[in-house]
Amino acid sequence: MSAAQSDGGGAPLLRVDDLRATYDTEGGVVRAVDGVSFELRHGEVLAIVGESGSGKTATSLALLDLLPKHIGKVVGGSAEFDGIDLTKLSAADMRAVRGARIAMIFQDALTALNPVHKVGKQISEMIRAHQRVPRSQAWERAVDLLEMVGIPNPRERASNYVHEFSGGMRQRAMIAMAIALEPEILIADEPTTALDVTVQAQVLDVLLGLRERLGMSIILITHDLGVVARAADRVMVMYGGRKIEEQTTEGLFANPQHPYTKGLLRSMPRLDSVIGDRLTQIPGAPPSLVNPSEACRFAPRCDFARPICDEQYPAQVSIGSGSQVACHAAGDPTWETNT
Amino acid sequence: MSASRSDIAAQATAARPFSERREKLMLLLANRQGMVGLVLVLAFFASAIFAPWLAPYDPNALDIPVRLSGPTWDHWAGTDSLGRDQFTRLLYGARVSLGIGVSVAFLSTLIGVTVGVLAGFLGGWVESVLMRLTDIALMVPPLIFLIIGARMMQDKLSGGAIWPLIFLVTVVSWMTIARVIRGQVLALREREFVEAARALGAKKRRIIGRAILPNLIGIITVNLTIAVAGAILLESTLSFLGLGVQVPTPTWGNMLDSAKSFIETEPYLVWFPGLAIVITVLCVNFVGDGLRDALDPTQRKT
Amino acid sequence: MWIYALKRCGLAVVIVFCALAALFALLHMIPGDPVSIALGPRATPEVQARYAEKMHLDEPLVVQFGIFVGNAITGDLGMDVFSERSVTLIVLDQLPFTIVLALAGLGWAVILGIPLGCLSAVRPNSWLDRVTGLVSVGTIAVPSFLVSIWSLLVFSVMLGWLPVLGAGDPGDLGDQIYHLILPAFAVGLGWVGYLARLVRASMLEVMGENYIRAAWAFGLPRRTVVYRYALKVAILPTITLIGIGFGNLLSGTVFAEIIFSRPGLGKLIFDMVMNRNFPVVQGAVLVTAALYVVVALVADLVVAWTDPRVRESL
Repeated sequence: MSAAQSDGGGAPLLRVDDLRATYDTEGGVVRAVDGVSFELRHGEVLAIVGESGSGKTATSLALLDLLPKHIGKVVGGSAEFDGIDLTKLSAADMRAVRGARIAMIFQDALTALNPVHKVGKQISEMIRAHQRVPRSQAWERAVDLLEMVGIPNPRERASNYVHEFSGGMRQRAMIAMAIALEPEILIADEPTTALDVTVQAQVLDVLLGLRERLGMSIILITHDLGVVARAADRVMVMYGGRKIEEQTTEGLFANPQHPYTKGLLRSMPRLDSVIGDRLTQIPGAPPSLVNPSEACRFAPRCDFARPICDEQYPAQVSIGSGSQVACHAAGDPTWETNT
Repeated sequence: MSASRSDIAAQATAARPFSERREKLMLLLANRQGMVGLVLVLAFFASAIFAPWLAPYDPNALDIPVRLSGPTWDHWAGTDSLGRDQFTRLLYGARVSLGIGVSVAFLSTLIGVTVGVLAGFLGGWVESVLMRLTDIALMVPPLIFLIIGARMMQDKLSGGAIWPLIFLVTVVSWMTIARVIRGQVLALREREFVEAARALGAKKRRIIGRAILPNLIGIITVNLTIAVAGAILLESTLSFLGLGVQVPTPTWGNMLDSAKSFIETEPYLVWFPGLAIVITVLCVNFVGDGLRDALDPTQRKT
Repeated sequence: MWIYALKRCGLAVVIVFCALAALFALLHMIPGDPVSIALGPRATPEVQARYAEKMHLDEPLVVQFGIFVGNAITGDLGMDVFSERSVTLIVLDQLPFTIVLALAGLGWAVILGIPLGCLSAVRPNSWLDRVTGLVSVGTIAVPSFLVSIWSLLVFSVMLGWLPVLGAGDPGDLGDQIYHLILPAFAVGLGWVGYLARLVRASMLEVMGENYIRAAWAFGLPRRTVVYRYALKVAILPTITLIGIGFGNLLSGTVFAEIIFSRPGLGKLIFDMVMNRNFPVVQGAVLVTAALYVVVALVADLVVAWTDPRVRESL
C-alpha cells in the first residue's frame, strides 16, 4: 500500500491559492502565473502538464522564490505549507525551506550541477548548508545517497565531476542531492526530458522508489503524457498561465474535459492506435501573456469556441471528487466538444 | 550567364537595403555618447587643420621673458620653458598626433583587411602562412619593439621625418583587425550568395570585391575608428620617451616629455597635453562604440 | 593534471624559443657592420674586437644563434662589453624590482577590481555599478605613462604624501614599501577598471546559469552561491586574461620605472636601447619574455586546476 493511498484523505501538505507571478520583459509585463490554485497531499505525485510557456515551471519557481532576479516576482496569492505562507517568508527563512523541506531538480543536470566542484562535494556542501555536520560525515552521506539512487561505485563516483557522468547518472546525482535532507516535497522540472527513453524509465523508477521510501510528495512538471501516465496520481493541466483542468490520472485519461486536454491526449502516440491513424497536433501557438484579455486563452485555437469564449474567461467548475475544469462547455450537455 | 552573375553580385550588395542603411544612421544619431564624441572629434580635427589660422602665436616663437608663465589671459594654457605658447603648441600638436593616428589607422586597417580577407577566403597554405605570421607578430611586446625600432631609425627621426613612426606603429597595429576580418570572411564564405556566386563560376576577385567586402564595411569602419585611438596612444607614448617626433615639432607626447622636468613647479604643463590625449582618445572610442552599436549588431553591448 | 601541466610547459618552452629567434633576427636584421650597429659609434676598436669575438661574429648566423641559445640555457646571457659585467648578473640585479612592482600593481588591482566587478554584477545598476563602469571607461583612455605622471603630480607634488623618486633605502624595508606605493598605484590603476569590467561581465553570465539557479533551489547560503559557486567559474576567463595581459602590465612598469626613477628591467631595457648596448638588451628582453611566458603558464595551470573541463581539453 503506497503512502499516497494511506494518507490520501488527510489535510493537504501544500495549499496554493490564487498564486500570481509576473515577468518584466521588453515587450511588457508577462503574467506568467495568473491565479493558480491547487493542493498537494502527503505522499502524492501531482503532475503539472502543459506546453512551454504555459506557466508550469514559473509556478514552481514562484513557490520557492526562484523567479529570475529583477525580472520575475510573485505579485499575489498564497502558498500555505505546513502552516507557513511561502510567499511571505523572509529570504533567510526561505533559504531554510529550500533544499531542506522543498527540493527541486531540473531538466538538464549537466548545466544544473556545478562544473567545477566534485559531485560528492556538491552534495555534502548542500547537506552542510542546512545541518551542522563535519565535512567527512557529510561526504559519507553523499556516498550513501549516490548509492541510494543507483549509481555504481558511489565512493569513486563521488570524486568525479559532472562532465564525467553519463546523462542518466547526472540526473540521478541531482536527485541524490535533492533528497539529501529528506524533503517533504520534491519538485521535479522535466526530470526525464533530456534522457533516452530507457534511461527515462530508470530515472522515473528511482524517483517513485524514493517517494515510497521517504514518504515525500512530488510535483512532477512535464509535457510528456507518457511520464504522467506512468508516475502521477493526479494531473493538473495548465494553459496560458492558468490551470484549466485537474483530475486524477485515471480520470484524465479516461474522461478528459477541456478541449485542450483532449487535444493533448490525441497528440499522444498510443500502442493500441490503429496503424494509419494520424497523430493530431493542436494547431496554433500558445497565447501571449502580455496584458491578456478576459477571453478564454485557448479560444483562438479551440475548434468548439463560441462567442462567449471571446468575451469572458470561464469559471472553474467542479466535476466530481477533486476534479475541476475551466471551460464554458463543461456541464453544458448541448455543447459537443468531441471530434 | 553573365547577367545572372551580376544578379548574384547585386543581391550581395543589396544585402543591406536602403531602409536598413537609414535605420543604422538613425541608430548612430540616437547614440548620445557617440554623437558627443563625434562632435568633439570633428572639432579637434577642424582645429588641427586650421591651426595656422586659429593659433594666437607662432608655435616655435621663443619668448624667454614670459617662460613658464602659467595660464594667463595672454597665454591660456601658459608657456613652456622657452616661453613658447602652450595653447598654440597644443593645436599644432593635434596636427601631428591626429595625422599619425589617422595614417596608422588607414594603413594598419588596409594591411589587416588584406591579410584577413586573403587568409579567410583562399584558405589552405596561404591562410596557414598569413595566420602564423599574425600570431608571431602578436607575440612581440609592442613597446619593446617600438623602443628598439625607433632607436634604430633615430637618424631619420632626428631629421624631422614622421614616416618612420607611422611605419613602426603600423607594424604593431594590424594584427587584431586581420584576425577579426578573417573570422568574418570564414563565416561569409559559407553564406548562400557567396556560394551561389562561386557555383556560377564568378572570378575570385569579383567575389571578394562584390560579395564579401561590402558586407565587411561595418566592421572595418568600427575597427578603423578604434585604431585611431590606439595609434594616438602609441605615438604619444613614443614621443614621451623621446623616441617619437623630435622637438621642436610639437606633439602631445613630446610636450609631456619636456614638461616632466618642471612637474614640481609648473604642473599645468603636465595637465594640458595629458588632457588633450585623454579627451581625444575617449571621444574616438565613444564614436567607435556608437558605430559598433549601429553597424555591427553582433557585437552590440547589452 | 600532471600530463596537462607537462604539455603546457612544453608549449611554453617552444614559445620562449620562438621569441628568442625573433629577437635574434630583429637585432641581426639591421644592414651594415653588426659590430658598429650593435655598439654604436661610441665603442673603441678594442671594445669592437672584444665584441666580435664574444659574439662569434665570424661564424654563420645560425651558428651564432645556436651558441647564444646554448649559453642562454646554461644561464649565460653573454657579457656587457662596456662594463665587462655578465649580462645575467646585470639582469638579475634588476629583476626583483620589476617583479615586486608588477606583483604589487597587479595585487592591489586584483584585490580591488575583482570584488568591485563581483558586487556590480550582484547589484546591477546600483550606484556602485555605475561608478565602477565610469571608472573603467575612464581608465582605458589614460595611457599608462600619463597615469604615472599624474599620480606623481597629485600624490607627491601637490599633496606631498609620498616620495617622488627611487626605490627607497636598500636596507630599509619600510622605506622600500613606502617608495613602492605610488608606482604600484600607477601600474595597477588601469587594471582595476579592466578587471572589474571583465569580472562583472562573466559574473552576470554565470549568475544566469542553470547550476546557480539550482544552487539557490537547494537552499545554499548566498555567500556560498555567489563566491564559491559563481565567482569560482566567473574568475576563470579573468585569470587567463591576466596571464595574457601580463605583457601589458610589464609595459606599464617600464613607465613607472622611468618616471619614478626606479631600478628595474624596463628601465634597464630602455637605458640600454638608448645606449645602443644591444647585448644587454638581448639578455633583458629574453628574461622579460621568459617572465611573460611563465606568468601565462601559471595562469593556465591555475585555470586547469580550478576547472576540470580544461584539464582534459589539451
